[in-house]
Parts: sequence; structure tokens; C-alpha cells
Amino acid sequence: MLGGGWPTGGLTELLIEAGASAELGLLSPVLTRLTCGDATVDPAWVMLIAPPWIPYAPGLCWQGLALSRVLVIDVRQAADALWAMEAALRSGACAGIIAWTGTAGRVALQRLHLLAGKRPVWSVLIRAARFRRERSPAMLRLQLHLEPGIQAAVCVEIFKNRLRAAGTVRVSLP
Amino acid sequence: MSSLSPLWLCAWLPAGPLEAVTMEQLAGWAAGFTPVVSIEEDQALLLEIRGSLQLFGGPERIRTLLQQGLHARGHEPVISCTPTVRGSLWLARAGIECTLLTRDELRHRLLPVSVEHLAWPAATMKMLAQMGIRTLGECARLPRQGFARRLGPARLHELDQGFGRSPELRRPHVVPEHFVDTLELPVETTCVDALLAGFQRLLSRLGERLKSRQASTDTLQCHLRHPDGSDTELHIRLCRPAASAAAFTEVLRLRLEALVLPAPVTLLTLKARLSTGQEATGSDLLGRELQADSDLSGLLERLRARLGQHAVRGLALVDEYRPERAWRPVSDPLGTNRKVSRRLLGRRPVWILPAPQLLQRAAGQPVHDGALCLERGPERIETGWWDGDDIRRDYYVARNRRGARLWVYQDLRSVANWYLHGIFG
Repeated sequence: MLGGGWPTGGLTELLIEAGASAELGLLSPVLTRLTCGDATVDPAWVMLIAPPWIPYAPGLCWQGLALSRVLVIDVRQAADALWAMEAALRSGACAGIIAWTGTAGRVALQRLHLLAGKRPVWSVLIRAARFRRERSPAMLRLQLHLEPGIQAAVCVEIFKNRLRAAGTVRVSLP
Repeated sequence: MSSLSPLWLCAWLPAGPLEAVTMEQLAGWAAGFTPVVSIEEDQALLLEIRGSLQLFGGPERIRTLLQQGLHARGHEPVISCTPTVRGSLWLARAGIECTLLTRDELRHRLLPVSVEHLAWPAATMKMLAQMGIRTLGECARLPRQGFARRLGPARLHELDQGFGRSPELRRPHVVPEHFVDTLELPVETTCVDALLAGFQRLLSRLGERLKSRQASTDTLQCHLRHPDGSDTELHIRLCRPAASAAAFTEVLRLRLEALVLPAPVTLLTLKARLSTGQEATGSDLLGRELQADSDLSGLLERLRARLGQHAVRGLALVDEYRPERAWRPVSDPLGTNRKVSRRLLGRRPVWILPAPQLLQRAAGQPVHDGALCLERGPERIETGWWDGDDIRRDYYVARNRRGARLWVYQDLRSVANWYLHGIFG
């Protein structure tokens, strides 16, 4: 559905339900590839902005991430998360940027989206599911549904995809 | 001998090795003779004095001043001065005091010196002894290929450096120096632009100083004096030393904008610690990586300036069984490559709560967003008895009614209470 990967060069918006979810588990294979590098790309930096809890080093390591390439940014106000993401996008120093944020003005989102389009950066905004109704310039919008019945799997509903079709995929988590 | 070729003066302290602090103090003092001072094995100072000859009136004059100064500080140096680092070092170690200006002179003087002053490893020395080699001259006469094969190419290279056949550079010891300057404001003000304009004048003076001393700095202290004589202070730290003051301007603006001033400002003071001998900018074969990292250090500076010094961190593992202590924040994520511990204890969640959260119970079972279903476990973690902060817990992977997977534990030490400690996914 995603054509085998997550898009760079544009904003991705991932909506989650309130409380404990599974967004970091869903994103960590990409974070692993970015921080460890492979035959074709060098290891690169990733930035976690305004995470809801403490990113737990042994858990990230278990997922395979190279911790020496992970940066964590704490903010005091919601607006700071968007500002930090904008600064990171402008600098081009990180290959992956994930920001947890709440309310975001349309102008701010538009600016992030334009900045994200200028560089091959994987930029993901994590927001609450209630923002689904708001219009967003993001080129890919997804909603993550937990599956109470099935072990170790989540449902990813792609409800806006500029590049390919929308739809729903089931993703199993490690 | 060209007037540009280096001249190395070695002051060997036979009573050493001395404490690193003492050597640094001596190096700081010796920096009065030349900016290029380095410390060798905490037992010798190496000074490159070619550029200082005219100022001090020749090598003999510098030797005398250095000797007097070291005597006055309670040291008995052996001082040699030759065109190579190792040549000076070997001669000084051998107790030979001399000033040799050409490589030919140096060569003649080195030939009879015993190989013991090379300070090579015992195994190498034993091999030399077996070969019947006692002096540097005998060493230097050995066929080069055989020498490299039997004693290693590194030793041959050292020998070449000592005799001046290949160049040797030393990284100068970094000597701290301070910059302090003040600017009186024409009118009392709290206006950020006016304050920034004032600081920019101070920064440009700092920039001139950095340029003239070929120095860099990574820390600024800004003092804003109020009419009642009190100061508001700002400390700015860059991730990497900067050789131009421009690097500070943007960070300073952000900090000034965030600052709440209790009163107008009358006087600005700028203090900085300079370090010399460290190339702050430039690129090498790894230019691309340097570029990326400098972008990143700039980014981290901007983030720190707005969000606070501690808002930006890296993560590292700690070899520790207690889950809450198995990690630590890293305040300097760009620091030199950290040793990565790879000892993993088992499946761990990607999130951990700042402190374990006591769970409600229903019918004896833990509850969080509905009854919890224990999917995997228990993993007994029992440790810490030696420091009095011991734990005894059974950890489980649990799933709540919504399908989220949680890391919970039952505390076996107390009344078997259940706690939420982390979140998977």
C-alpha cells in the first residue's frame, strides 16, 4: 500500500488513539535502518521531539536502533515541538524527525510540509485521532488502530495518500 | 636549512613522570615562548621555537630562560634542541644537552646514542639485543626492509622521524586564555535589539582576538549590569568551538529574546575562554561528515538556546539490571564515539514511565484501561541488595482492553502490588 516504504520529502501525519499506543513500534524498523545505515546509505541521525514518555534505551536497542544516532528533544509548550521540527527540517542534519504534537495551526503545518518537501527527510507528526477531521497539507495521513483481538499486530488505515491509493493494511509488530 | 623548518626544544625532566596537572601548568607557562607546546608522556615538554627565535634572540637564549624558569619551579631539566621531535627527545633522555640546527649535526650526534633511550617495548629491545644492536647508529645501518619486517614498520617510521627523514608533527597543548571586555550603553535599556547591537560590538572584538590568536571558543558569559549594580547573567555554550564570533550571534539573540530582565541595563560584559591550537573549522578527507555534524551542532545550539540546556539529549545503555537504571541521558550526544554496550537482557519496551505507576486491582488482577491480560512472563528481576536499593519484581508483558501492550510488574517485596513501568510499541 505504501509501495514498500515510507515516503520522504513530505510530511507524514500519523494519528493515534489517546493513551498507550504502538506508534514507535510501527516506526522503529525505519528508525533502525536510518540509524544503522546499510550498504547504500551511511548511518544518520534521527530526532524524537516531545515524546510522551521517556524513550527507553534498552527497548530501542532491542528494536535494533543505534542509540548513538538518536536525539531526544524535550519541550515545555506544544508550540515548541513544531518550532523544533521546523528547525530540524531547515538544518537538514537529521534523516528522520518524529514529533509528538497536539494542536497545530494550518499555517504551521503548511510550512512544515513545504520544508519537508525540500529535502529527503523522513518527517512524521504524531497527533491524536481527534485531529483527523482537520484539514492537513501532509502528503500521507494514517491512523493507527490497535487490535485487541490479535496478538502483536496493528491496523494502519491510510486515509490520505498523495502518491498511491488509500486503504488499510495490517502490520505485525515484533 | 631553511628558516621555515621547525626547531624542536625538548625539556626532559628525569625526576618524572609528573602529575598531569603539574605538566599542564608547566605547559601553560612554556606557552609564553611559543604557541606550539606539547606534553610528552608527562615527563617532557616539547616546544617548537623556530618562530620565536627572533623575538627571544636565538635558541641559546630560549634554552637559558627555560632552564631558569624550570629551576625556579623546582625542576632539573635536560634540554636538547634539534630539528626533529624525536631527535630532541632521544638526546634529552640520554642526558645530552645540545643545540643542533641541522639534520647532519643531529645525525652525527644520534649515532652513538644507546638504543635504550628510544623507549621501545621490552620485546623489541630484546630482539635488538639479540641482533647485537646497541646504538642508534647500528640501528640506522640495518637494511630497511629487514628492519621493518622484524621490528615493525612503525619502529622504522619512528627512526626516520628521529633522523629527520620523515616529518613529525605534534598536536599543541591547548592553553586556556580568557577574553573579557565591557561596553557601557549610551542609555539604559531593556530593548533586545539595543542589547544585541551592544553585544555584537563586543562579539566583533572577540572575533578579532580569536583571529589574531588563531584561537577558538565554545563558551560565552554575558553579564548585563543593572543600575543598582546587580547583574543578570547568561551562559552560552556551543557544541563545538567556534573560531568566529558570528556563530554566537543567533544563539545570543534567541537567549536575549527569552530573557526576562528585572531592570534596565547600563553595562554589558562579555567573557570567553579561548583555546588555541585547536582547529575549529575546516574540512579534511571526511569533509562531508564534518559538514553534517556541524549542521547538527548548529541545530542543537539553536534548540538549546530556546528550550534550555537540558532539553537536548542522547541516550545510552547502562550495564545494570534494575530497569530504571539501565539507561542514562547523554548531555553531549555529539561527543566522541561512545562505547556502545550491547548487553541486552531480554525484551524491553520502547517507553519507560518516569516512575512506576501503581495499578488498581480488581479481583486480585491488575487493571489499566480495563482488565490486563498477561501475555508473557514472568521475568524475575531481583538485584541491588549490595547498595540497599534492592528490588524483587516479576515483570510481565500485558495487554489491555484496547490492545495496547504494557510492561507491568508485581512487587514481590511488599504486599504484591502491581505497577505499570513501560509501554511497548
